[in-house]
Amino acid sequence: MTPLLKVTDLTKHFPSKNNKIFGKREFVHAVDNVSFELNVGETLGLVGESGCGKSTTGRLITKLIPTTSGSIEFEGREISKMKASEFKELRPQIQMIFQDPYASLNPRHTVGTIIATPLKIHGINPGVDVKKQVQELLEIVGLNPEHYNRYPHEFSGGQRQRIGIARALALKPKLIIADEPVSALDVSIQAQILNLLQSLQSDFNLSFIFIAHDLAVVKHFAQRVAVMYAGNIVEVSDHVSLYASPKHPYTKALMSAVPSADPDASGARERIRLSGDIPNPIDPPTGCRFRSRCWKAQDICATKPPLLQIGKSMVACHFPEN
Amino acid sequence: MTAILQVKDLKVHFQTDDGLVKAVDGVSFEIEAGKTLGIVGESGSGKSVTSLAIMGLHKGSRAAVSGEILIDGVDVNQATEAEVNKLRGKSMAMIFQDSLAALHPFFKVGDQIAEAYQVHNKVSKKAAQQVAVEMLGRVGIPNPTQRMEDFPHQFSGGMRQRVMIAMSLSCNPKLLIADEPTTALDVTVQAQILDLLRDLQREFGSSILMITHDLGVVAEIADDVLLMYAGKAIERGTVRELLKTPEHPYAWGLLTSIPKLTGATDSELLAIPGTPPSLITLPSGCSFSPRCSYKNRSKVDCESAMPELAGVKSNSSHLVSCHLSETDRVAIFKSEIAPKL
Repeated sequence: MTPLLKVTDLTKHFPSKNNKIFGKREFVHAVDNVSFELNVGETLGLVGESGCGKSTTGRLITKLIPTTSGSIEFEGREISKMKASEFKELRPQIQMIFQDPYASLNPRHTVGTIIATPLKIHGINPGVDVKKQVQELLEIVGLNPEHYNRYPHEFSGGQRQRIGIARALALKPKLIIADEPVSALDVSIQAQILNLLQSLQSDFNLSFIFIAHDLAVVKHFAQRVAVMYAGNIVEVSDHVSLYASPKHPYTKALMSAVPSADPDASGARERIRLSGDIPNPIDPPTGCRFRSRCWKAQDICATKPPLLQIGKSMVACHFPEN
Repeated sequence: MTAILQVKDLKVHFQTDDGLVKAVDGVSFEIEAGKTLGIVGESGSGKSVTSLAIMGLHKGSRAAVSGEILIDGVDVNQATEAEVNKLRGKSMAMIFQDSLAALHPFFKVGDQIAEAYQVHNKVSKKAAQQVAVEMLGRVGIPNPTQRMEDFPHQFSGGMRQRVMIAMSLSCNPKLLIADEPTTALDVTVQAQILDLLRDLQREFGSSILMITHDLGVVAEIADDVLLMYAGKAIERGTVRELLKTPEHPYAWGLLTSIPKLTGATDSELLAIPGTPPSLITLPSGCSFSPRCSYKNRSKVDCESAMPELAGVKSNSSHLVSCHLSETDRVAIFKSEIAPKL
């Protein structure tokens, strides 16, 4: 079976802002040699800290920004080098949900216009009443279809995120890139949106790339999780084994840093405190990028770490845990 | 035990074009020396407005503040601006959420810390600079003497938050108010900052008022917790009481709606239905009742009046504001909530 999405050696280098006209050109290594696959109906979580390249990866897949090198195959078709006119035909199948429900909706458009715009651009079902379609979508995401004529500011944050979800669903996509869809919401609302996304996934057989920094949310929502650090994927695993026995030292440190709401658990857990900061993305360390902060680092870590299969996990490390 | 801070029946109301916003409506609590109180609540629950009232930062705004805020025997509400200024620094200091917005972008961080110190202490600029170097070293910034000369934008988010902590602790305050100090930070950096706050608290003996929406952060750092909803305190107790045996249906909802990192994954999260109420047109009676799944079990009409914040029978320090009888709450918690925690 061909996977729905196959990403191979995806790389994105942004030119640095500090480039001088005649100086040596420098690049921010935002994403470097990232590879993964996504099957139909599956959710892959991308986790990592700010600046690790998870959002850039999402934007590359939706072709919001051009790739530097590497390939993105959607249903076996290479899309990374497609022209915009060619890609327009595939665009309805790859949609995005954004993080900030305040910034991602045009304040001057009614909800009806916002959700109908993708339908109009792609000329979907021109015969059918657009208003009716929009109202159906509003109902699917749990909003009152009567609110068709309201403006975004009349809705709360959670409701706006529902509008963004309705817009992403309008074109009946196969793949949705959800970039931190719940991080701007309060916990009680967060659970509502996660439940909505989960029921939509089973109703419409959607596949998700779920980008988030909250490890517990990703564990809940994604079947497989890829952990990113400084532009590289360091570990991919199914959600249970990743959390039960992390293999990469960085994954282990990341897990131990998450505070638990259980006062008993916080005392019992092993704590790993990373020192220092994420490496400079303009000049990342050679070999394993985590070696500058890793307590296991040795000389060999300056060479490219091997990709090891341990149980259900793929890990890029010279000295994996366990 | 002596209370460093006593807040009695604090009310902060804002007159707006749409009506009176009761941002904080009758909140009381105290913090003992060397202890940490966590105020937890969602956006709009009034937790930040409470902290600003304690610092006296509503003075000169449209806010109508009433009630008593006693710190060092002074009522912040009655005091003049000059008197409150005397309290700031030595009696209380504050760390803000967004360190990039809270630090001045045009001045070197060393000068900013030294200035804060000089405002409250009669010392030469040179001595104040020396204090700044010392404090930057204390909060774990490498090469403090050189970093003194840097501007805020030259620091990473975690390092900037350390600068803020250094500044607020420079006068050795009795009470440190931290308003979501780690919300903007990544988890690994958050863990570093929480460790730092704990270590510094041990060293300086300050009390901390920690404002956060993250129950995990509360579990890590707080001794006592105050849970707020729509401007009112609805539950209060030790961190164990609130997180292990919570009494209020809202607390149950919060605990069951967060995904867990350990253990098996649940198929569906138990979300609290609905959204927080508007602070202008609060629901009648208990403000949580429109979202409460257990109100039909109550023998009292939940929409009749806001329940009093009263002690749980077995334990007078654990307070809850709910119309459900204690036996009902214990039964519901045992059968329906505890298995999901």
